[in-house]
Amino acid sequence: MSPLIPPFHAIANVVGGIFVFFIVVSMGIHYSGYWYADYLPVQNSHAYDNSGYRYDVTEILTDFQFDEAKYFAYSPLYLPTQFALAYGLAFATIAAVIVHVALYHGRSIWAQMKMARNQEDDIHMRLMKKYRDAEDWWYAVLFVTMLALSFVVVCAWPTSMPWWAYVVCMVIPVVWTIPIGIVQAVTNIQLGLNVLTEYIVGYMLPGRPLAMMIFKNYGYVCMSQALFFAQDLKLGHYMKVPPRILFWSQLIASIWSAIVQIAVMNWALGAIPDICTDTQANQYTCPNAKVFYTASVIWGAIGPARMFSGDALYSSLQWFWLLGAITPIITWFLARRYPRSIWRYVNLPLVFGGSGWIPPATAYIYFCWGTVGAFFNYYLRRRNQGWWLQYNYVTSAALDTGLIVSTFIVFFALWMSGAQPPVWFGNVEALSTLDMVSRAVKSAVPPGETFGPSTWP
Amino acid sequence: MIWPSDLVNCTLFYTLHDHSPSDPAKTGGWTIGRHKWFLIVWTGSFIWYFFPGWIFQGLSWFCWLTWIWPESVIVNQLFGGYSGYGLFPLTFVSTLFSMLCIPR
Repeated sequence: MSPLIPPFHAIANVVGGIFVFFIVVSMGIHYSGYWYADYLPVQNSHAYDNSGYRYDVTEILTDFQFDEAKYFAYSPLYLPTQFALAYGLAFATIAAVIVHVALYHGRSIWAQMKMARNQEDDIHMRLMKKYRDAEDWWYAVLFVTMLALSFVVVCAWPTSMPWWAYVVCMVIPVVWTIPIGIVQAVTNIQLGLNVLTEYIVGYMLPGRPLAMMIFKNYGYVCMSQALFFAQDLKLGHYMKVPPRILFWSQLIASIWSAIVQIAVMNWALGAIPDICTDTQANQYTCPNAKVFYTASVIWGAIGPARMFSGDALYSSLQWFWLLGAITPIITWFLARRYPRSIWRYVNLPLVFGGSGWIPPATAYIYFCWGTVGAFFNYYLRRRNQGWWLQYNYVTSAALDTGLIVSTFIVFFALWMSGAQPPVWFGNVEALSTLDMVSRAVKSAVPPGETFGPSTWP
Repeated sequence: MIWPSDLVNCTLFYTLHDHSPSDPAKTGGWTIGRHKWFLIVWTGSFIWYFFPGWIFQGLSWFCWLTWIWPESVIVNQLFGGYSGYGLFPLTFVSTLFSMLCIPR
């Protein structure tokens, strides 16, 4: 996501949240040794066992189902400090976005719902009225078809997911699409529902990793894609694309991209050597897939009850639900009491949830992103607004597209041709520091020994 | 509700069809047209990626303090960007920012 796009107040909220939670709070936890942090790195996308190695999920599964006896014989699950904290912040985000949107936007949502299509048209709408609208029943038919296909997927294959779980799953996007959509439409940052879906399915269907991944995809990705779809409809609206053409081009493009994605993924898994290992030569290390996998183990196989309930190690993170639900009320009152103060710009869903890509993204990436964003959207915008209006967005587009084409060329012409990059400090030593190999850990566990309690929930 | 990233796409589409120069009275003195500016920045971005992508991969995670003390746990925890706090945020590549948008 280009840092030149979001408005400065959004960037400031995100970076402020990262500083408070991922630097200050996280340092307090890490250097006090809470959560056995001495034996774990500050952050990466992996889960660890009690000997300080990566958690080996095959040790606790039998036929892809959770095996309790094996789990007690092996180890509880330990997370790097920032990874664990990220779950707490996800709880806070989910609660905060509902409270925030209800307080700040509740009245206007209600007014718009009542008016529906009887509102006064803006200039875009007046121009768009020349075209025939895409019929509502087109969307209805599409919805029913896809719903039926999803039921077939869930019930016809051995997914270990009952049909009613899919019904529960559809309720989630219905509730959260509008609150999260409002935040995205204003700030260009989409908050994630991944942890909420994981949490619900983890308590509902414990011990079934595959069902958990399906639930998460249908529950969270539905909302995510719905909002990108809405964003594209808005683009069509801005560019005056006829609604009927827009409908068909989106539908055909979606189907085509599904086919291409499956084909490319199968090709990549077969053709790229060492793909998804940490030592892959061109850094095709699959960071997102790894987080997805770790999450499926935490929530699907082991289940949230063993991680977050009762006297489990990470149960204190449940307080973040309360934190997320209460704090927006405080900022709302402050913003109303002092309407000209900085409180007007505080957006707690962003403070908690803007950091939603950690892990696999890191605080470092966010700080770099925030610095560039602040330079363009604060400094340049104030210093030379004419330049910003004329060139900011086109600069963003040029940087991104130039980079994308370049990565393609470098990948296919250089890496795939078997050529070797120059061997020197900047390609070897710079990539083998303790930090880059995730080994910056204070205490090593002696071979054969373990850390942490001897019995666990 | 503006949907900011749509503005970037709109700007790009207009720019690709409008090759006129800019009015320096409105742009803080710059006369270069958006289209020409786009091509220059695009080319620069294209050429630049060959450095972090092939010639000097350390430019992405430019945590230079960890290069001086690569074996120090505390330096790597505080200043390492990949698995540490990244307290000296400096990078030369925007590919890193692409990690901030993929659903996981």
